[in-house]
Amino acid sequence: MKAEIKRSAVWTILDIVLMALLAAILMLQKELMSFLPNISLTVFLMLLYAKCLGFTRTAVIVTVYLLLDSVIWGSLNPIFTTAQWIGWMLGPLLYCTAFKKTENNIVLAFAAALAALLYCWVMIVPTALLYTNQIGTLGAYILIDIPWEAILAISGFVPTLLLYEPLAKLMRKLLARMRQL
Amino acid sequence: MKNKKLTIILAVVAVLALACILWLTLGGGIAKDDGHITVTVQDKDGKVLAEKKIGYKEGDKLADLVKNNFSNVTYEDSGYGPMIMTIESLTTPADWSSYISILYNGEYAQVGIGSLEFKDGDKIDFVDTVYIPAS
Repeated sequence: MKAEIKRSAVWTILDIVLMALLAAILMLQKELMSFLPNISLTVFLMLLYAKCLGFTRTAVIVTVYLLLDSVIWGSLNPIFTTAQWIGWMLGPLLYCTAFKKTENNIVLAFAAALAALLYCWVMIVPTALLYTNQIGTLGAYILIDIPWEAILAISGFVPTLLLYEPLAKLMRKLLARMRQL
Repeated sequence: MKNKKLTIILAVVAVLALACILWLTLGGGIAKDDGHITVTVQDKDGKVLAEKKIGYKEGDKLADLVKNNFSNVTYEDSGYGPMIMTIESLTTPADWSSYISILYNGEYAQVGIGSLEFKDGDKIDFVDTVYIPAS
């Protein structure tokens, strides 16, 4: 578990393929779970990627995912998409700084919930700038958003709690094996 | 071992909390008493195209009441509950240049038809609304 994978500053073809593959997985699970209200593995997968691949590679994956998601759902907009990018980046930033040394699934589950809440709070800004005239008042939006924030936080919390340790172990093992090829 | 126990307890609590939040958030739209509501369908200029006083009983769903009392009512399930796409002569075009707003007692409803709480004497309007793109 402790064996740290040496990360080269230069990306190899393997890195690029891997990032594309992981971005596709992130996108696919979101689409597959889109029938569930605000429930997906997005927060958990971003945590897993950040802990196993580091911040830079996760940032690329998140950016690709966000652009694809925005195009598919029709939310591509300079203000909205930028805020989404900032919101999603806060998670990996948090995991790779404040929680860098932590491997405890319980602590990381709370970190994932915090990251989900930070994303929701960042999204209040573009909503205030773009949509409050349609929603009525910003206060109403913030109030109505609370249960959805809680749902996103829990949907990041539970998978991290239950799946982080086995999947992080597996992913590190696969990454180490791939780099030996 | 201690960590595993704590993990299971936290996971169970979190899942229960999630179920409660979902039930509270998406579980509205059901009558809690008997009564009547007035429902109108209005065009872009606010002209009333159809108006009905609908009687309901405890446990009735607003989405069902509307569907049973108006023609051409279709819903799309967005994953966040039903979204009204057509009612009477109002339709939501494919390019979403307009949509059907729900007004609850004269004000924009803060939730969809599947979650909207209603009581005796309430007025609900379905209004054809031109979409104003975000700028």
